[in-house]
Amino acid sequence: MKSKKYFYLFLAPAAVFILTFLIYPLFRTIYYSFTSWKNFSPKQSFAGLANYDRLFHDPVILVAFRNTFIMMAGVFLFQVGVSLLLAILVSKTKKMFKFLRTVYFIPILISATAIGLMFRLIYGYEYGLLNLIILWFGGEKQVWINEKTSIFLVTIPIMWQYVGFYFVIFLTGMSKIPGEISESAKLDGITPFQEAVYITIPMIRDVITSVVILVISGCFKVFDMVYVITGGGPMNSSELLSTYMYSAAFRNYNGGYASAIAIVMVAFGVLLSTVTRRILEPKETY
Amino acid sequence: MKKEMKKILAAALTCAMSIGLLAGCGGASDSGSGESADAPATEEASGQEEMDAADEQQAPEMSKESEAEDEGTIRVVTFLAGSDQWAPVYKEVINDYMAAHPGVTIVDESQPTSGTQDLFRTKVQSDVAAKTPPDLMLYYNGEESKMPLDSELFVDLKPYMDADPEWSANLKEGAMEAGRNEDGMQYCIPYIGYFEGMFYNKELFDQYGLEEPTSWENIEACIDVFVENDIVPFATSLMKPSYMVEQLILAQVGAEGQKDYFDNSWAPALAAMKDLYDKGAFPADCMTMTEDDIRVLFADGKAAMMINGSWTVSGLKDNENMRMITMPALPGGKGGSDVALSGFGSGWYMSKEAAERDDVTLHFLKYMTSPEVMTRMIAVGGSSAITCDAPEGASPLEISANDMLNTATKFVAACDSQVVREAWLNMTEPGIQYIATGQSSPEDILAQSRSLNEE
Repeated sequence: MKSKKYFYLFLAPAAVFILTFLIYPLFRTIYYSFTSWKNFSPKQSFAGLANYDRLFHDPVILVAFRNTFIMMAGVFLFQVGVSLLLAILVSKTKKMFKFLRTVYFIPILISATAIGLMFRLIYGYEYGLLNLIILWFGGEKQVWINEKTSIFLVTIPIMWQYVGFYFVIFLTGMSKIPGEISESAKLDGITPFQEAVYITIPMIRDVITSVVILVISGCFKVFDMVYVITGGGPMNSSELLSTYMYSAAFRNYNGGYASAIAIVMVAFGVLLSTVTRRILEPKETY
Repeated sequence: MKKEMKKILAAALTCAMSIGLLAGCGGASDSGSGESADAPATEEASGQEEMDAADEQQAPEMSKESEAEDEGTIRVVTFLAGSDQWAPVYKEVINDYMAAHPGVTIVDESQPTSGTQDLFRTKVQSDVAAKTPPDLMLYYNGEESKMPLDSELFVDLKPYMDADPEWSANLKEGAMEAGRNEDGMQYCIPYIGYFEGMFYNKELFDQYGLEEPTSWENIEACIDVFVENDIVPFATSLMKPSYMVEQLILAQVGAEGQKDYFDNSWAPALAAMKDLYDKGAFPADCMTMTEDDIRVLFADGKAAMMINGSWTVSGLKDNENMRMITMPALPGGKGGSDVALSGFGSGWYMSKEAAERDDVTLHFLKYMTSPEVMTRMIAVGGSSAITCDAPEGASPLEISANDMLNTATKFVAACDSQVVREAWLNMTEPGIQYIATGQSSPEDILAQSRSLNEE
């Protein structure tokens, strides 16, 4: 009984904090999504399902979903793939291990806005780095960010920034693999490739599951990089659910519609994370 | 004994954590009430002695009044921040006021409104939504006045104007109408007026032997020549084409037609954007350029024309070759040099709380709207809603802008402040991009915006 009292006592501050700044705003957002709420006016009027009706007929929502999936695919292949490969290679390196670990981790320390501005300068037409290189080689300047390329160009810095983060997670997971397994396999004449495929990857399956879930949920949180580099354009071509929601709320000042987008975003994120966990988690055997 | 000690320790820790949390909240509330770290309340007062003397001379009544008043803090929010051309002089003006009235602290929470992030609107709207409005704010009128008016947090300024005829005599009646609603409530005091038009670089027109862009034929003729010579004809961003669209609509439908919001009669103006885009009249990267990018392009002499407003005059006036005119009428259009896009799009709002608390905010409002302060503000740019002396030493650009306003017989306000913002932005950002690339017709985009405007 006593232990329960302390349990609630110590849990209370965090619970109050979460209820105030997460759960309560979530329920308010659900409420606002059923209202017509413009210009953050203190007055809202009940609009029924009007915001959801608009959302399901809005072509930009489809673009935002498509872009989110493109980003997920790119991030899954390059962030998870490249970071896993790097971790396997670096874990086998005796020299420069600490140096390489630090180098790959550095991009994560830079703010996404700064990286976004840097890439905006790289892609720029008038004074952009890529066009400068093309001019050096006698070529003609190009408009890099257009309707077809925008989502891919904003995905590049996102992939680059987080490779180091997942690399460190994989490296930590690999350090937990007992050295005896690898040593005995080597005595049996296993090649480094076979070791990676049959020993390392299966042994860090739980880590890979966590990374995949982090990657998927991370794609729903991407905002700053896209906002800084393209602003969701041109012609909404690089819009994500997050940037479109921001645009509805803080550019068009339509709080009701922005709330509906936010709710769909939360629901879809939870659904996708749950499905991924179900698929990737190993079934318990007795 | 040991157990009791543990209990005491646990209770003490819990208390410390709770107090810490509450203290955090308390701190936030303090900053909300205006005592934020960024506030320039402790900034060095510049020109204190001159201001003391000037203040005594210009408004002796005000100074005496302030000496008699208790000390007070005024929270002020404006868009005179960041790269805004009036930001430096605004800072000077409030510092001068604080130097002349040491008992008063002005907490300036101004935020920039230009560029890709409109921090100002977000700031004001969240303050009002949280029912913690600033004591004084310089905010938009017209359609955007709905939000502060609906909140019922701001006062009717008319009784204050009636009570002080000496002050209100300087407020131009024509300008004050822009801050009055149908019920006769003076919800804000319009302040600095704006004008929009077409800037052009005369040097480039002379260099290629071209007629100045005073007619649409001249504009069409110059586009090909400039494109051939790697000069951008129009420094325009299709990410932010609002000013260009405003001018084209006016050039097509004239002053009366401009009020038929999102009517199909606007379609030829939007179609003109597509024609110009197809002719290569805009920068190659016009789809992703920012407002700042186009200003740099034009100021650097890489573009011949730019549609913009009075807020860009100060950055260009040192170039002797810059001129400003109203965009000429489109073929068959009703606009032209007799119509100018000019108005008072913003004004000072005073909160009820500040008005009921004391006279400190009202006193500062009277100072900000005094002829002396107004002269300093319009020396930077814009037109005045207050009777004041004209600034001296005008540049050729300022003279041409003045001629533009003197030639016009009809003045209309910008559409974007008269319609629902979402409807306007749907048409301009990204509507114009869809029209320019042929993915939507002007009529379709106008129908969408009409529907949003009527919601």
